[in-house]
Amino acid sequence: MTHQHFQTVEGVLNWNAPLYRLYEKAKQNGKWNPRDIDFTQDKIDYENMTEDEKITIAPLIASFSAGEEAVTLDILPMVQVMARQGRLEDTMFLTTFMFDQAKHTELFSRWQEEMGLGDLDLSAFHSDSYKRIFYEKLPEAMERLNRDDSPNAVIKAATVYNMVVEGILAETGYYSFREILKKANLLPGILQGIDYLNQDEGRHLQFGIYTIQRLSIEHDPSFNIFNDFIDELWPDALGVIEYLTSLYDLQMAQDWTESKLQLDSEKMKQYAIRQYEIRKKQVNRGSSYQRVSELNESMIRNNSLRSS
Amino acid sequence: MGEFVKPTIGEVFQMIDAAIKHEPEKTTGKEGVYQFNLQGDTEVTYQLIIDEEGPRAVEGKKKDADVTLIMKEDNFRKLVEGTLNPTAAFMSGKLKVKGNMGLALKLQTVLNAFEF
Repeated sequence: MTHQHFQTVEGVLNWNAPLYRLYEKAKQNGKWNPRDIDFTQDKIDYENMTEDEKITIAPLIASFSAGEEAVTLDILPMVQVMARQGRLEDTMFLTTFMFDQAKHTELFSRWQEEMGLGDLDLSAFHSDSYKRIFYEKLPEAMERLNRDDSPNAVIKAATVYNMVVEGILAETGYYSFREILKKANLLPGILQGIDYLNQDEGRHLQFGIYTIQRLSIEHDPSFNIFNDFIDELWPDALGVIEYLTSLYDLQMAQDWTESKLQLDSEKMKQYAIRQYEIRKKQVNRGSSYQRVSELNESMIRNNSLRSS
Repeated sequence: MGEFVKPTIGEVFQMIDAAIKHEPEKTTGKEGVYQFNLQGDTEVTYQLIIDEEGPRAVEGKKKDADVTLIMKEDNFRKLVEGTLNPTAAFMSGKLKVKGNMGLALKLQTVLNAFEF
């Protein structure tokens, strides 16, 4: 690829581009450092937890560690698509996105190290559904962007990455962490990290929603590509959650289990279903626009991407 | 008085086999193929099979495993004796699990149900 011109020589950045606004927001709100989180109380709590309580949270840790690593490694083709297509503001936002994902990976790895879990292989907690999404569908959809940056391919990549992995699974995971640990008043350090992740993820979701809406308005006004693909992925997304809750329920059904940790499995599944419905609704709102300029104007008008 | 001779791993599994066949009802709800890859002087493999043909412990790989548990022979003996539980073994890295984690969780219930 060669450059034919430079936007910032011929003019300046588009300060009103939705993803420039998001970039500003990321610079302002994404300043946290995983290394600054104090895990002292987490260590005390973790040492005092029973083995059964430790194994209750292990599947969540196993899901997030691999999940954050996967999204860190797999985002690169999306950045290259935006760069190749000359979307400078989108590319600038994605530099913060990549940095966020790297910090999320660091957070869990640090926590595992501090709790003495550094050498423990937790991959047995990855169910078949989890593997289909994180080991197969996600990298396949992202890798495809290296040779195909058609609207179809980008919509599908953003659907699995932003809407399913981040918008359904990560959001439900945060909810589970809070449900289990806040009630038990345990592990404040990792909970603080989860709050930061959640805030970062909000911006990532906005990227995904906007990108899918923008491309659908231009190339797929019925939004079928998005709707069909998220529906195709949904059984495995729910399968991930059902597996996690089934392990909890199974553990609690054993008469030897010593655990005061509580998780309402049905509530967690309902939460995931709600996330699925919300993501569909958010993206499909874009179908009311005829042109991308209308979508952009609406976003600016509603101040949904204000930098503060 | 003669010196206590530790049973071989083969004898331990014969004991498990006898116990579960004597009281098969205790394995109801724990159906599956539990495979044990045990590391001692050499690596040996046994399976605890709980299916419609009744529970049994066998040497080698007779069926596809639903869950594979990998550990040292000594730690396996402790599991059977009840001085080490599978959850603690897993969380301390003494037990590695591949496959169905739910079945692995049930292993302790199976072991607890018998006096070996």
